[in-house]
Parts: sequence; C-alpha cells; structure tokens
Amino acid sequence: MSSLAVNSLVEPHLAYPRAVFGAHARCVLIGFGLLAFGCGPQPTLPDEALAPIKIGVITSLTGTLGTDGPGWADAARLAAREINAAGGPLPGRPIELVVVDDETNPALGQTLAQDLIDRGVVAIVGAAASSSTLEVAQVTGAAQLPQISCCATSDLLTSLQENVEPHERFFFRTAPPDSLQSVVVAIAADELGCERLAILHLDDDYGEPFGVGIENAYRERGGTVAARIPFPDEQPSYTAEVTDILDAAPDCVALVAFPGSGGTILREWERLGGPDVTWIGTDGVRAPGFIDEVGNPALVDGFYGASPVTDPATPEYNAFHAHYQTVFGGTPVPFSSNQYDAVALLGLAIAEAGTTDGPAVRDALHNVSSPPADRGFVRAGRLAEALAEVRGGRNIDYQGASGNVDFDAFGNVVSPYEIWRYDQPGSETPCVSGMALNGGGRFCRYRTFTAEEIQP
Amino acid sequence: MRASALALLLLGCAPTPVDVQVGFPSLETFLYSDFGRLAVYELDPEEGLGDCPALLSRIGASGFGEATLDSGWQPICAFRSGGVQFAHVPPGPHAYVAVARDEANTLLLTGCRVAEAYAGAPPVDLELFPTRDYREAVQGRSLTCSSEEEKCQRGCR
Repeated sequence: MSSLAVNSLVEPHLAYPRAVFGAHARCVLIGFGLLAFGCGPQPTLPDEALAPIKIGVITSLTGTLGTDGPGWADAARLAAREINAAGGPLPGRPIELVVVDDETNPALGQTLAQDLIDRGVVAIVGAAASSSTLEVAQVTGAAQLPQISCCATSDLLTSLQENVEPHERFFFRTAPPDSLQSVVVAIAADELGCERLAILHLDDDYGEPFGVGIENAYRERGGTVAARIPFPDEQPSYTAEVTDILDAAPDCVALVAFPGSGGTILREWERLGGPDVTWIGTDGVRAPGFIDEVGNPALVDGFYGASPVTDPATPEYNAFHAHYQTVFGGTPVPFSSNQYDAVALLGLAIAEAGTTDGPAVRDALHNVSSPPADRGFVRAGRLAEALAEVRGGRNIDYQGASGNVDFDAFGNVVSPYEIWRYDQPGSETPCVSGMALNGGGRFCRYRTFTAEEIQP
Repeated sequence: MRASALALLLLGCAPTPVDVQVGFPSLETFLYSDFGRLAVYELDPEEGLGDCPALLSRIGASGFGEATLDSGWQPICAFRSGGVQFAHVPPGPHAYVAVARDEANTLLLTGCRVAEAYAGAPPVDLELFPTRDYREAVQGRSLTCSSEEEKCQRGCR
C-alpha cells in the first residue's frame, strides 16, 4: 500500500457520522456554543512542551538512486511511526520527519542541509550517496547536529572523522565503510576464477576510493588488474568507457556504479557486442532499480556482487520486514533496514539525552547503540519497550534490523558481508537464501563473511 | 443535561470537546481489526508527560485500569477517518491510548499520544502501530473486502 493511501485513512471523511464518546451529542453543541462566547479552558503547558521534534531526512527520490529512495523514505517513516505510537522520544513530543529529495546530486547537499536546519530540525538522516553525504556533513558538523546515513559507505567519511577531534564528530552511519567491501570483491574475483579483472567505477567520493581499494586488494591477492576506468554518473552514454574495458580484454569486470549508470553500462555492453564475462558489482547495484534500469533481466542473470548484509536472518530484521510489509506492502529495498535503524537510534538517543541538544544526542547515540545494557538488548520492532527502558533510567543496547549497529569512535559500524548473485525470474540455479524481488527474480546469497574473516 | 450545562456556564468553564484522529498504519490493518477502544488518562503536567510507554505496557499486561474517559470496546468502524470525539475532556494534559483487536481478542494495533485539552485545541493525531502479535494473528487469513467503506457497510473483513 502506498504512503499516499495510508495517509488517506487519517484524513477527515465527511461522509461518515462522527462517533461521540462520553456525552450526548447535544451537550457538544452546548459546549461549542459556550466556546463561541470565548469561554473555555486555556492551555497550561508552554507551547514547546508537546511540540513535535523535527528530524530531517535527505534521500534520493529522483536521480540515479531514485528507484530506491522512496523505499528508504518509507523505512524512515516506519521507525518514526513506531516511536510516535509509543508517545514520542521526549515526553509528549512525537517525531516529525521532514523529507527532502537531493536528486542524487551532491551539489544540493549543503543547501538542503542548511535549509533543514533553518526549518528547525534537530538531526539529519542522510544522505544516501556518499558524495551527497560528505556535503551534508560539512553543514551538520559546523552546526553540531547529529547526522546518520543509512547507505553512504565511502572510506572518505571515515577520513573526515579521523581529521577532527572527537568532540567535533557528529557523523554516524548504519552501513559499514567500503574498506572491507573492496576485499570481498577481490575474494569474489578469486573464487569465481577470474584471471584478468577490469574495474569500472564511478568517478566520485563513493566510486574512486572503492575502485582503488578493489585494485589494491586484488593485487595483494596476486591478481592481475587489466584496467581501472573511472566514469561520471548519470551520463546518457558510456560508449567510451565500455570500449576501453573491451580493449583491455578482461574475463571479469568489477562494476562500482549506481542503478542508473550501471543499467546504462550493461545495455551498452550488450549493444557493443561485449563478450560473456563475469560481472562483480557492489552494494550500489544490489537493488531492484538496477534490474529495472538494465531492462532485460536475462542480461544480468548470473551477475555477482559484494555487499554488506542488509537483510540478516535475525529476529530484529524479521520484525522490521514484517512491519514494513504490514504498513507499506511489498519487500523493503536493500538498506531500508539501515534507514529504519538510523531513525530508531536517533529517537532512542533523544530519549536518553532528554533533550534535542546536538552534542548531548551525539553522545547518547554511542550509549544507546552499544553495551553495556542493564537488561540485555532492546530490539528493532520493539521500540516502545526500548523507550520504556530509557524512561526507567536503564542503559540500553539497541540491536538493529541491519545488525548490532555498535558505533565506534568514528561513527562506523561493523557488519557481515556477502557475495550475492542475481538470478532472473524462472532461474533454476540452486539458491539457499536470498532476497526475492517483487517483479520476480532474486538476489541470491552466494556466500557470507564476518568482518573478522576479511580483515586485510 | 441542561443543569450540567448551566453549571458549567456559571463556573465559566465550557465542556472541552476533543477530536481524535486515529491513524491506521494501512488499509490492511484496518480491515483485519474488529474492535477498537480509546481511553484517556489524566497526566501530571510535571512528571506524567512521558507515561505512554508504561501505559501501553500496562494495558498489554493487565488491561485499561482506571481511565478518566473510556470509549469501551466499539466496532472498529467507529474509529475510521476522523470519526472520534470525546464530548468533554477535563482541562490539562492527557494520554490518549487507542488499541484495536480482532475477534479472537488479539491486540493488533496500539498507539498513544499526549495532548492538552483546552478551548480551540487542535485534533489529537494518534498513530497506531502493529503489535508483535499482529503478523502471526493475520497469517493465513485472507481479506474479503478491499476498502473501509465496504467493510463498514457489508461487515466483511
């Protein structure tokens, strides 16, 4: 069910008589009459006592990540709704999400962040793309506002944190950095029997360090890198880059792209008569939108990739998935669980801090996400219980839908990784577990790794 | 009725009607619900504004207890689209707690919102959220109607 349809349920519907509890309807008319004469109780609480707490959400509703952005916005709404149904993060104060579209355009990041701050948000969830997230972080850091990204994985965000003092760090993310994902791509290339790996990567804050990381990791494992070609996002054609890759004659191609650019590249590969190679993508294309952009599922049947595991087989993820389906219908897109966790953690941190003050909430984010806890874990999908624990003055350790989300000193989390494979609808390739897509086909879980197994 | 209205007038205090907008998470959750109940609890303005989680926990464990106002169990259709009003809520902050259940008495949805009753106060927006038991309760059941109008006119689910 779409969020629009959900909203329609709570809009006034004059066709139905209003149910009046506690008195005969005539009494109500008398009451209204009295009120018309200016007689009636006045508010006793200050205006801000029950005012909503605004949290900005910068996501990509359009542009190359636009196919997944609406799903991420819904995941944020799910967590906010769950917290609000329990009374809100602060006594009597619910969350009000202010969702804006960055069009997957990093140039908008700073403007959108400042605009949200001017509108009174106390924290920002976002952005999705690493380049946009870095831009937003320039503003949130200066304003001392906590920022949590669901999906930005660039190692540059760790560098950003390393370059400032701890009290100046306001950035967090619920997806792990790419430093280990590039190793998983190299492992995948090894295990899939690659002899000459070409790397085709976005020329931005996400793709450049990722592409270099894959090259280094693969060379360290004794592999041969046939070429490493950067490309700009959102181009109508990638003929030049695809031709360069063809000239390098690889048997495997690592693709660091977003759904839009990745789809265009795969179509051009087909158009230019590219040979049958083993493709290895990343988290950027483990998305239903990528298959949509390619247009022909058969073209990407057997396409492999690396990614953090964003749909772990845990009670927390299962609870999130069930609630998402109940409220919005359909299957959550990858990184939706990370987005849910971002809003949930902010709500719990505000509750623990007892204030919306940025540095206090930042400190509380570390407390609520990590041990020690007085009574074991509090879990995704049970946020009312988590709020009750916080209100009771007890320490909590939140276990997220996406993982344990224990933030380190740089706001990073550690999670398992997977090698995945896309199977087109009707595929008979064996698959033990994976993510079934709404339109058919699946992202099959080919192999998983703990972070410890892949430490360089 | 006339006497009480006159008394209110003499005291300079009109009844304070409060509209409650009960927001269902989705059409599906409305269709699976059979009965709803809305209770209002007076809160201590200093210490009680954060009572929602505890109230929800208590209701789940031991029932509604002593509420200031209580609709009692009503057919869920009484709670659709802006259809709920308490004719007179005493002044001051209150917790508005709504729950929905099915015929098997399984709590499917809960929600709580704190608001202050005063002359000209905005409606109370009370969002419901599925309980831990929701998914299991509806598993294997199929919906026979496709809109709230159909449910409330035909009595289907």
